[in-house]
Amino acid sequence: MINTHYLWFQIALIGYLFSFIFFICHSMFFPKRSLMAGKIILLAAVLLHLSAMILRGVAASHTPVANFFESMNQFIFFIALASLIHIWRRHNGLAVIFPLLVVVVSAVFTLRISSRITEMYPALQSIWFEIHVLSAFASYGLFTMGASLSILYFLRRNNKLKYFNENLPACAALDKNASSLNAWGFFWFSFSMLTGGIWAYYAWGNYWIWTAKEIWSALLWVYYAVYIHTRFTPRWAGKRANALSVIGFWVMIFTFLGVNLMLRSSHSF
Amino acid sequence: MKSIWCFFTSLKLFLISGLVFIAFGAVGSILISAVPEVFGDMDHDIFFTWLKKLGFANFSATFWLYGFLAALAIINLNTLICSLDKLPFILGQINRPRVKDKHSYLRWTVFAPYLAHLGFLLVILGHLVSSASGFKSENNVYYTGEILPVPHMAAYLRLENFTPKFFASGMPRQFYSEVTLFDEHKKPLKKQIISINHPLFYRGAGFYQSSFGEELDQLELTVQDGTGRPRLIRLAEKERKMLGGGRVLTLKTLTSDFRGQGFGMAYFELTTPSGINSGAAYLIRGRNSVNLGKSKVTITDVVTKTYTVLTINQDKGAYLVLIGALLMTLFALVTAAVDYRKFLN
Repeated sequence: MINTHYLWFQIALIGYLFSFIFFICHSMFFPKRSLMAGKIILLAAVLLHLSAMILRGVAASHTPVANFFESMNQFIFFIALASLIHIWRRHNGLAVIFPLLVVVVSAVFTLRISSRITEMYPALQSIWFEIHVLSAFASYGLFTMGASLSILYFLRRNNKLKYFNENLPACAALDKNASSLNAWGFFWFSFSMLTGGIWAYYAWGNYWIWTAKEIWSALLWVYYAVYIHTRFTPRWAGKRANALSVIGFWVMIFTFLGVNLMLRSSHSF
Repeated sequence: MKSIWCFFTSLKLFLISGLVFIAFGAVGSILISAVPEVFGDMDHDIFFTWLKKLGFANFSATFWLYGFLAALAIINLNTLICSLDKLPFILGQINRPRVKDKHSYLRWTVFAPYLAHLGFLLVILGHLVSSASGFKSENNVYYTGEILPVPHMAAYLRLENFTPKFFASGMPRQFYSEVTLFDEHKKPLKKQIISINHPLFYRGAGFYQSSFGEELDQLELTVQDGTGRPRLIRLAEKERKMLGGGRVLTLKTLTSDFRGQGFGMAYFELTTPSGINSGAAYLIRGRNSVNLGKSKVTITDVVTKTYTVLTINQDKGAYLVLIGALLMTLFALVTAAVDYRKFLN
C-alpha cells in the first residue's frame, strides 16, 4: 500500500507536468484541442493525487499532514485544485500556467524529500490541527491563483500578450477575479488561524506563541488584510493592488517554506 | 482636532501601518530564532511580565517588538476610529427604504466589514487581557497517590493513575493522567482523565498534559539480620531499619539521574554496638552490593514511582480572542462570498 500511494503520486505529478505543457501549447499554438486535453489531464491528475493521499492516510492511520513530504503534497494538491476549478469555470488556460509551474517545481523538490510514513506526535492528533493545516493550504492555493491573475493583469496592461493566442478578459475583469480569489484565500487563511489557535489552546494552553512561523502567519494575514483594503482606496486599486497580490505570493511562500527551512520554529519540519 | 480625527480614519494610515507592522515582524522573526537566550522564556511567562523583566534590558534584541506593538496599536486605533466614524452611515443603512428585488435578503451584508473590524478589535483586546493577567505554570510534578497543591489556586490535585501509550517504534502515542481535583478543604471536585489535546478546565485554568517520568523511590535490599540470616527489606532515602541485635541500617542518600532503571548511587550507614560502618553502592542494572564492616548489603531491586508533568495556565483573554476570531472569520467569508458594495448607496 505504501508503494502504491507513492506510485500514484508520481503518476499524478507526470499528469501535472503534461497539463502544464498542454496549457502552454493552448496559449501559444493550438488554442482549442490543447485546452480540453489539458483540462482532462489536470482533472485526472488531481483525482489521482487525491486518491494517493487517501491511500497514504489509510496506510498511516492519520490525515497526511504529519511531515514535510505530506505538507508539500497538500501544497501541490491545493494549488492544482485551485487551477482546476479556475480553468473549469473560466476556460482561461494562460491563467493556470503560473500555478502549474509552481506545482511542477514543488513536485520536483518533493521527489527529493523522504516519503517515509511517520507517526503523528501526540500534540498533532487533533481534528483542529488537521482542519488548521488543510485550510492553510487551501488559502495558499487560492493566493497562488490570485497572484497568477495579477501577473496576467500586468501582461495585459502592458500589452505583452501578443505572443499568446489567449483571448484574455480585460484588465478590470482580471483585477476583479484576482481580488475575489485573494478574498477567498484570506477567508481560508483566517479560518486556519482560528482553528490553529483553538488547537494550540487545547494542546498547550496558549493560542499564540512567539515563534517565527506564528509571526509570519500574522504578517501574511495582515498583508492580505492590507491587500483587501486597497480595493476600497481608489489610488491603490488596480496597479498597486495587483503588485501586492504578486508580492503576496512570495510572502506566502516564505511563510510556508522559508520559515520551515531557514528559521528555527516549533512549526519547522 | 478634526485633522487628527481624519488622520486616524484614513485607509492610507492602515495600509502604511500594516506594512510597517510587517517590516518589524519580519525583523523580529529572525531575532526570535537567533537570540534564544532573550526570547526563550517569552512563552513561559505572561507577556507583559516577560517584557518588563527582559524587554528594556535587551533592547538591541527586542527593539522590533516595540515597533511591532506600536504599529499594531496604530492599526487598532485606526480600526476603532474608522468604525466609529462610519457608525452614522451604518445606522442610516438599517432604516433606509429600498426597492425589493431577489437579492434584498443579502442587504445585511453591508455590515460585514464592520463586524469583521469589531472581531479584530476583540482579538486584540483579548490579547491584551491575556498579556496582562492570568498565570502560566509549567513543570508541575504530581506523583501517583499524593495530594499536592495547585499553583496560583486554592486547590489540590491527586494523580490516581498514569498510563503512557507508545507506537511500535517506541515513539509516544498518548499520555493519560487520571486525576482528582480537590478544593482548598481537600473535598473532591472533579475527576477526569487528562491527555494531550484533552485538558481539564477549572475556574478559568486549564490543566494540560505535558510530560511524565519515573523517579527512584525505594531500594529492595538483602541484608543479614541479628542472627546472621539474610533478610529482605525495603528502604527509602533517610529511612532507618532495625535489623536486630542492636544493628540499624540507614539509607543516608539515594541519588539517581535515571528514569527508573538507569544509574545512580546509594550511600548506606550501618550502626552496630561496636561502631558505625558506611559505604556506597552504585545502582546499575542487576544486583550490586556493598560490604559494611562484616555485613553485606545487596541491592536486589529498585522501586520506582511514576509522576506526571502538567502545565497549568490561566488565560483570561482566550474567550475574547475566540469570539473575535470567529466574528472576523465569519465576516471574511461574507466579504468574499457577497459583493456587498452593490447594496451601498
